[in-house]
Amino acid sequence: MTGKRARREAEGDGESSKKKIAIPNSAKQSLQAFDTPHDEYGARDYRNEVKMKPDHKTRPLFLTSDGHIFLESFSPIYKQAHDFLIAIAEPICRPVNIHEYRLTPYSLYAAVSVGLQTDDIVKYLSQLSKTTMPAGVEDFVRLCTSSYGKVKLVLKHNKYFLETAHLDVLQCLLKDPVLAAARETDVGSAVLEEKISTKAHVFSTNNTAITDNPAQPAPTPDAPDDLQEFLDKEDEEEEATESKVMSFQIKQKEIENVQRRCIEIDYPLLAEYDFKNDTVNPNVDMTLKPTTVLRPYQEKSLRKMFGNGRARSGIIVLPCGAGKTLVGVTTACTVRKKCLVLCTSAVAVEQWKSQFKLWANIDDRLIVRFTSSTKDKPDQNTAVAISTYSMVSFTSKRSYEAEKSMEFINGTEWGLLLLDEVHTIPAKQFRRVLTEVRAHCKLGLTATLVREDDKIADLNFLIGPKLYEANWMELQSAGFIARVHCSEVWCPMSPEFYREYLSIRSRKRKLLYTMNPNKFRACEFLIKYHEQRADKIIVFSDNVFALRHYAIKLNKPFIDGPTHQTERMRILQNFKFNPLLCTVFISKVGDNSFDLPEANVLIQISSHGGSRRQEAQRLGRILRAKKNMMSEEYNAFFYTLVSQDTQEMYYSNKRQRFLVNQGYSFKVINRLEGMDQQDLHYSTKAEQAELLQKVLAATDADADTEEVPVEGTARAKQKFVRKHGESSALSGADLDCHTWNTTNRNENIRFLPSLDD
Amino acid sequence: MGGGEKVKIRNIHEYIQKLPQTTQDRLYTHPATCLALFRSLTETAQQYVMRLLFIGQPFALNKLTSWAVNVREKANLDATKQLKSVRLWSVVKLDNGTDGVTLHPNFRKGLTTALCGGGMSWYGNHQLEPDKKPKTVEFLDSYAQERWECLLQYMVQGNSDSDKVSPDIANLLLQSGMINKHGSEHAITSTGFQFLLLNTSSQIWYFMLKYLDKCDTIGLNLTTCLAFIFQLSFSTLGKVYPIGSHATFVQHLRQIGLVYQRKHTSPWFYPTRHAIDFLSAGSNKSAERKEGFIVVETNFRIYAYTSNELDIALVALFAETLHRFEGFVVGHITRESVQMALQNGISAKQILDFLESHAHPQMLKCKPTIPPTITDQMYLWEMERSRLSTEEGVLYSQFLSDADFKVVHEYAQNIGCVQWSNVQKRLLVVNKKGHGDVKKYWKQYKKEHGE
Repeated sequence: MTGKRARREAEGDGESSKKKIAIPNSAKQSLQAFDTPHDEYGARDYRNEVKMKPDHKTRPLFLTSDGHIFLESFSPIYKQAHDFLIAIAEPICRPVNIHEYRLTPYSLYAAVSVGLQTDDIVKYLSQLSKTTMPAGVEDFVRLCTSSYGKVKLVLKHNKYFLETAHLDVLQCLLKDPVLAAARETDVGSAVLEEKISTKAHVFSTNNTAITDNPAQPAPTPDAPDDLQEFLDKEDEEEEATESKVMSFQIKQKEIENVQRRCIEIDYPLLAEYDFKNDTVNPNVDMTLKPTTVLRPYQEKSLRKMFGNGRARSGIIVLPCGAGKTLVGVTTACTVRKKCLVLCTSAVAVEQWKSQFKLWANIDDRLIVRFTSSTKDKPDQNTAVAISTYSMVSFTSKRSYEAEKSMEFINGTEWGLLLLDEVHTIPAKQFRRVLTEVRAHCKLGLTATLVREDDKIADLNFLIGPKLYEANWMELQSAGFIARVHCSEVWCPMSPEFYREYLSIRSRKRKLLYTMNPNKFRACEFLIKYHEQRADKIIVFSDNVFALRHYAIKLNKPFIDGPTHQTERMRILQNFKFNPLLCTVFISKVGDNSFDLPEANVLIQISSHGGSRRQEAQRLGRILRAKKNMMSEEYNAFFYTLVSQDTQEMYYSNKRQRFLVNQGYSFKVINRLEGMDQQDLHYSTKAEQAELLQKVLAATDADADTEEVPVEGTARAKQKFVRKHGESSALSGADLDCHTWNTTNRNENIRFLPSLDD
Repeated sequence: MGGGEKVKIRNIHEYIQKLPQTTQDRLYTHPATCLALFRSLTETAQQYVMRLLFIGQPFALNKLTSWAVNVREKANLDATKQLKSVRLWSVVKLDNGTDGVTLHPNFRKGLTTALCGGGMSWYGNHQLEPDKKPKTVEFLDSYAQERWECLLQYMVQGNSDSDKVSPDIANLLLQSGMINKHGSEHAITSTGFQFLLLNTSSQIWYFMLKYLDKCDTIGLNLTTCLAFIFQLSFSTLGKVYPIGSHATFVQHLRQIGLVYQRKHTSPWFYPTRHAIDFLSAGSNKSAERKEGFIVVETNFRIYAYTSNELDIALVALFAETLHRFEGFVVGHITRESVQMALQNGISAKQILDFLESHAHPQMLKCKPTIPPTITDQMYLWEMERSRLSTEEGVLYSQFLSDADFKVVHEYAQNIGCVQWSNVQKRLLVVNKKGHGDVKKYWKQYKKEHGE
């Protein structure tokens, strides 16, 4: 833990000359139980530190001195305790019976920002705990929450104010030289004192049918008395409260300095947008359709965002397929100001547009799209603009059209900035988006707030705290997302391939285990099996060489980086509506936000190392709730094919950790029943030898996974500089053509699916 | 593979079967033994014994089987086999030349006495003054439990805490291979591990068998001890019995909590539930269980709601413990931790059985109790250890010329017995089955082409 942090700091120093994401000092704290003794089995022994309460059976959680929380999901007050914990702690794993959470500075920051008070956190935590509160935890909570959330950056009447309810904090702010310089001096320079009424925004959109808790459950009889108050308190945040706050105005151009300074002096700013009182930016004509119904968890997540009648910036984490887009659309319709949506690909742009039209009453002309291929003309009335990250963060010379679009984006004062798949943001070039686009309120949406490189934490200060995170298993059992049967199929390496695998040290090893004939056969078998059941199958491969080989051999269409937008759309349309096309091969480009609600089987033949996020995102492609949900035990299937005794085994284990922590379980399949009876490719040694020759003849570059610039690393950036002689490349932002690499340029023969027959 | 012997529990018949005939003869003179043995027979066998009991002469075997009309052939066979194995009956030739059966004379007498009464009192004629402070059943139960767990804990804990377990018992554990000693420290062996995973009555039965095997070395008579054990199984919980001549034996039973004796000089004792019940473990697995305490999750986390040292030690055998509270332990099942357990000779099945039989009530709500991922993974980890298979073969080397090698190699290939060959070094390995043929061929070839 410490090591990791040290490394991050070291990295930070390296780039400190550039703009560095400032992190408040208290966020660098972490709870560590240094002095907890270990018992004879090597476990941390808390028996002397904390005492069990006599009525511990009725309380739902254990709390360790290093901030881990174990919550019993079978406790009668589980629901309330869970709501509380999700607000103050980071969920680590949530399987069936016992859930694990962890207190971190970020989670506590989030807790404060949604309106929880330090004393309440401490009080309820100790009441819910089966034991007495471990020493240190209370101090930690106080340390982390004392300065957080005390100061808000509020945009009112199109003027920025620093707002606080604490006099001492105000004194401190006013004394600070940087802040003093940023203070607006001519008008309204005085510290304003006013009473504000924090009344929650009520989502009155026909959703009375589904209310989260229809009636306050009768007090649980066996709960201890002191917990009664906690139970009653639940959802009190909805009630209107009046409080006195003080604020002073600051100069708009100093906003960034102020934000950085506040982090330095340990008062990170919470951005809130008082959209109801914003008279300068006109409301746009956009409302939710009366038929649009929010699901309980969507409503809950929105309540967190609009808890005090203003719009908070932050991140909402919902599983793929659980309706993130609807949350985004509802937010836009609630704020009712100009809205900019950024997503990862052109396909996703189309999807957002259709979702806006599906859920909201909005004139088609008010929505504009900016992608490499489509650039709608914005005008003054434009209400919603949808674009991709790569469009807005593109640094080289743009086409005239793109330049105009960018001028529009940068020149507009946005009420709401929606960031789809926000986990991609930490990539450096995308961060610029956040500084260049001016928006009053930012909402990030994602399913997988994990990154292998620890940078996720930065999001807390780039966008805002995590407002809500849904529990996958609960959504699954409630039928909101598909019930997925996850399995890992072990394919033995054929001896010839394994011999080569052991002798080769280069990157081609990857190719050998991906092209393992037994894996091919397993894949073919699974496709045949599921096609018989009339399932829709997506096969994922990171490796383009393998992808093409598999697809061509099996006579199926495939989509990879170079596949043109129109062709992509054609294949996807066919996949959706053509009963003859049940299988499609997709490379890494389909990882995020390809919305294919029909697909219910996913086969993964090669993947990107040990990336937990990719695994979860891919699973997400089949998570959307299916028809006849209730009739079968499982209605979606997720297969990962791994070659036995190779690196893949190790990676797949690593990849699965995120989903396993969400409560998914992977079944290992050693042998596919009935595979011998099927007539499959590569059944003879001769065929296998031929395949081996082909693999050995491939170059090292073939063994690499496809570069997708969306992944945004330094290498992807180099690709931008390389110019190919395509006309579309000269136009600037066409990201597709930048992913061409030398090998597949020559091999420009494209397999086209014959969709007419 | 460091496996060690598998713990196998012999049932009472298997045990008696292995005893020398003279011991058996002596054993059958005790009515209690006869009655206990009778009760452990199959139903059909019990029928046969009852019908033969009062027939004073050998009885024709073919007539005997005609009694069993509605009995399946299998049950009948089992019964006869069982009776023969412990010599309860013997087959003699009848006058008319056919086979007849007759009960063992001592057994007949003993069982008759046990059923019809008469004979000496089992505990002799000692007059007992009533205990001033009689012990309750609850007290005896907890006492027995505590003593037995002391023994188990001693096995698990490395340091020889000698005041927990008497030297005699410690010695017995050592001799029966459940622990081994390194200086003053001792460590549990694979047999010991497996022993710990058994249920209590099986543990006691297994331990008592080991004890009886060794009772000669501590100067005790096997027959008397056995008879006393059988006698105990007919005693009543919460009643006082005189010790009589069994002083040493009772001392040992006292140390492992099978009987309660206030002071070691007291002339009387209380048998505990363990002593009364454990015999049934030898014949059929009794399913007495306290409430389960283990929660296993699909993410390989294991939570144990217990403060019992022994339970925690058991969990720690195959899982890594992370956090420890009063009455709650958090652990993690990892490949390493399970491999460690497998190395100690515990099988995946035993771990899973342990998890299942101690599953927390919450776990019992779902079917199957243990998440299939855990079950599968355990077996996969176990299989990992046996992925290499060995096959015997014979190496042919030092061929003088390439031609010689080629001929033999070709022949061996034709009859399909080549396991491995290296042409450059003229090495050839054929499997055991082909070795004879290849050898013959080679000899003949040498003769034909020889010098």
